[in-house]
Amino acid sequence: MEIWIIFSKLIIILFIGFSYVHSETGNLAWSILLILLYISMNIPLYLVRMEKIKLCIHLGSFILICYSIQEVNPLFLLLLPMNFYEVSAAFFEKRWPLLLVGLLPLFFMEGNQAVYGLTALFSFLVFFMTGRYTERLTTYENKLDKMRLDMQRLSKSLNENQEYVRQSEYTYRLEERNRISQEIHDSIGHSMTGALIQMEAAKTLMAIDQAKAAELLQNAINISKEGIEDIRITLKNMKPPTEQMGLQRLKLQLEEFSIQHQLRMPFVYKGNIDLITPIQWKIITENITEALTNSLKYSGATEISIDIHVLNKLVRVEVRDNGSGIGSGKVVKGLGIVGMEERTASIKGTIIVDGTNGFSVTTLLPIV
Amino acid sequence: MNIFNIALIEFKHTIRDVRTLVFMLAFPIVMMLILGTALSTTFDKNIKIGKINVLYTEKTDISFSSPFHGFIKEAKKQDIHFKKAPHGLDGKKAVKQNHYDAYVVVTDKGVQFYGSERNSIQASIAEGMLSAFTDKYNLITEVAKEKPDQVQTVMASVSTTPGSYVKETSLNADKAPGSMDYYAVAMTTMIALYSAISASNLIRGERIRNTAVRLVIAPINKMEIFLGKILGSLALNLVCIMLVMAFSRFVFGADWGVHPGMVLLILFTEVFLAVSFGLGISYIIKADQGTRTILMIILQLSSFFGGAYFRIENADGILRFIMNLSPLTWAREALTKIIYNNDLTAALPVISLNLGISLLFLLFAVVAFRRREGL
Amino acid sequence: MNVLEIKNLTKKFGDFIAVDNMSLAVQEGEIFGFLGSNGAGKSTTINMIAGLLQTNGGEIKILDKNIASHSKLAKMNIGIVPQDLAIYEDMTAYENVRFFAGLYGLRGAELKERVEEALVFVGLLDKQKSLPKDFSGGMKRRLNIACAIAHRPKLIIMDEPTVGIDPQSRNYILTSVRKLNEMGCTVIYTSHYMEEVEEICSRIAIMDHGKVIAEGTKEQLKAIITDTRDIWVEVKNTENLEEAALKEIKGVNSISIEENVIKINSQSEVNNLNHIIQFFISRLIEIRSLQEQAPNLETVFLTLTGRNLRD
Repeated sequence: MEIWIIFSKLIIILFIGFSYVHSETGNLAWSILLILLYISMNIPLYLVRMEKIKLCIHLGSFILICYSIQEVNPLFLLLLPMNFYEVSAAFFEKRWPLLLVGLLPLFFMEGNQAVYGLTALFSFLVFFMTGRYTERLTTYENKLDKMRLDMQRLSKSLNENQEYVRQSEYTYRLEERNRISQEIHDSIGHSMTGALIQMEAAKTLMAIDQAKAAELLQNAINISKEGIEDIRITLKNMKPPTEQMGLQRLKLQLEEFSIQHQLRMPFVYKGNIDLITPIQWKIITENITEALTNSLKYSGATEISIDIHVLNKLVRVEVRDNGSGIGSGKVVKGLGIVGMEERTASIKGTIIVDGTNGFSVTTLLPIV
Repeated sequence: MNIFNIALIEFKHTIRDVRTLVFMLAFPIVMMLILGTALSTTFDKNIKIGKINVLYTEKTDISFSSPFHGFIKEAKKQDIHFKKAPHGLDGKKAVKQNHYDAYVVVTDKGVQFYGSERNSIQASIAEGMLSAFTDKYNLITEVAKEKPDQVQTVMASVSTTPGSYVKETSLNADKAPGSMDYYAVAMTTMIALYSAISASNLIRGERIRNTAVRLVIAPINKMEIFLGKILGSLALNLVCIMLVMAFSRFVFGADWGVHPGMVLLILFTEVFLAVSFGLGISYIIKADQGTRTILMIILQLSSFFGGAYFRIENADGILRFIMNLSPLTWAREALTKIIYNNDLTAALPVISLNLGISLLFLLFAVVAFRRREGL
Repeated sequence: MNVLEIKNLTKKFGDFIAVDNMSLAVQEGEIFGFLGSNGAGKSTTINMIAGLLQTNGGEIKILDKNIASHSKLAKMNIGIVPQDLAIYEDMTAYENVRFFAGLYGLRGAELKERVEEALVFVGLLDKQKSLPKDFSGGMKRRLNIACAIAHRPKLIIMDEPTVGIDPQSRNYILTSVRKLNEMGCTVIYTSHYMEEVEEICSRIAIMDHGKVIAEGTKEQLKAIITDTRDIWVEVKNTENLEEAALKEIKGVNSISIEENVIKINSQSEVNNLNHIIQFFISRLIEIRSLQEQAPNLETVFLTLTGRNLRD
């Protein structure tokens, strides 16, 4: 920004010098001295950081300019607007009055009004346009920085998560392997050993006591049957019911959220929860989380109720807060809602967002 | 065909709207009647001047005073009374104080005349007579120099024919608008301008009535609707105006001149102007109530400054400028020229002005109309 | 054949999305209902179909032709009965119908014939010379319909045609909708009166916040909620009741008893009311009252959206 202002000041100075030379009035030495003084006063302006010193310099410039106008050449007035805008911009919010004040000398000066008006307008434009665009540039840069940071953080957490996922997958697998071997060892192992012993005995007794051998064999068969049954049971036990997983996880999450944000969060579910598939649970959980975040951010609610209702051919999940809602009933979709919609649409579901009575997000998922 | 149908339906249903019809027909006629009779005196063709009092002082020798006294005597017959100023009375002051209409100082060198500014008509009559008299006197003195024997005859003519001092210069005393003639023209032009109100309702009315929906869903072009509506409105308003004209002509005996075609053409362009203006306004201003209010204000101002309610005479400066802004002024003045002076060329500027402005508004309305979803 | 096909239709008013990525198809010969509360996007959708509003995305096909490129064909084949009366109050009934039919290119004798046909259809032929401003609300509604059907459209869209009228006119209108359908017209019927839609529509789309949240026949829609119904039988006493035998009746899922009311939950598809009644009669149990608790479209809407239709 400063470079533009410096250049416009330079342009004005050049103009003054040029017209001065052309007008061929005396006092050349004086003028050059004053111009040099002005330049040397204004250069530190852009070097120091302290606001007070800047103010002093501006004051000095004002006095210098006034003196020059009085004593040497009224054309020095042209330098005034730029300095004036520089000083005053910090103190006033509104720009237009400043322009008017900048134009004020028009009424007191004799001659050269056009030139002064032009310079004042030019200075105004240069100063405030550079100001505005610099401001915008900085916000963009800040935003960009923030986004860059965000991205870094996100990719980092993504990597961590992936690592974590791999880790836990491995752990789970290990655990499962242990458990399975334990189970096999505990139940099937015993049965198999029992059956083997019985069969060995039967084989020995085969020639001597056929009836006894047959009995032993029968025993072995029974034991094997039980073993197979055990295997079935073990396998069945190992597979946890999905609904339990989804529901428990959700409950846990809600509790956490409720405690964290000091909100009442009644949670109700109706109907046959077993019908909800894992993928549906995933989307339901994600949508609920999103809706909760939304409510927390915008509504000022004290209570958010969550309601899962499994109907005959449809799962209906409603998150409703008791906050301000949207008076007009005309919901404007933000990114969060669009995300929910996309997620939900991927399994042929629908989202209804309503703001008439608190704010509610309803997810409808078909049961196939 | 669709355009025609739409125009027809517009025509029909406006004609069945009693309120509009009363407004467009009865209102101007009643206004004509009231204003035309109530303000008839301001339009009297025979202005009564009454007695004219002139004060005079004489500082002269006998040679001029004799014909001058002859003139005074004769002037008395015309109700112009010369009175010799008493000594010490300031004649000019007396005139200023409105005791006399004029003050005359007769000297050797000539006649000095001080007219009253208040009674300018009386003063100018006196002045006219005096100047005629002095002219003749100069003639006599010239004649006396050349042929003294002829002086007597000239003198006789001077002193005996004061009636010829003032000559009537009115172009045609009978060919000037009387009050009814004036208000017939004024009201008709005003009501032509009022077409803007019904025009502002042309498209909006359809929207309010919801019939706009049917028009838009029909397999016709939007421009057909637009043109049809304008056509219908034009036709209806023109018929109204012709009825008002006919009524004023045959019942009130208003003078509409001998060029009815040209008169109608001017009125038609004015209706066109009003219709496109109303339509344009209805597209410029979105709020319904706002449109009507603004339209009413503009129309009332135009009517007022256009001289619809009373004649504004001898206006100049700002007033003249404002008057010239009113379309009513253009139309009325052009019509007056055509009717009373047979000046057909006066129609040209007003027609082109009307058409030009109409096209401007119409263009705006068309653009807005095409952009809008629905009607 | 699809008379109307909508794909990913979207309409925005500023930031507000009135119709949100909507897709649906209406087949020939259907009476298709749009059910939804006020502001659900029904009228906006209809206005886009009619070409009154521009779309912000998606496409609309009438008779398999995109209305953007075949606007005239689409317009010729659609008749719309707008929600608000759209008639000229100071033109006679006949003039009204003739004017609007005339916009569809009908002329001369054909025009006259069609106008009379439409007036006969809505039962206003004897009033053809009267002005609508003297009509009752119901008669105006009927005239409103006549103006939309004189050009014999293939698809008739009725936007809340029964708002604020007396029951007789309402019945008359419902009957004429059916009659139109029998004559081969496909009808789209929007309403927030659930009973009407349930009564006449062969297929229904439930709309909310600019989306179709459920679509199908009324049975299909009800089946979304539940495939069972409750039959409540109030009896004099429950002493002789053999619950096991009652459960044996085909379709009965479960039974609960509260004082003298026996609540039988049964499958919707199985028509077992006769058997149930027979059960009580044969055991000499006196039935005091009998009521069926089955979902209607109102409950479907309420369950899906959590709001009443007429909120």
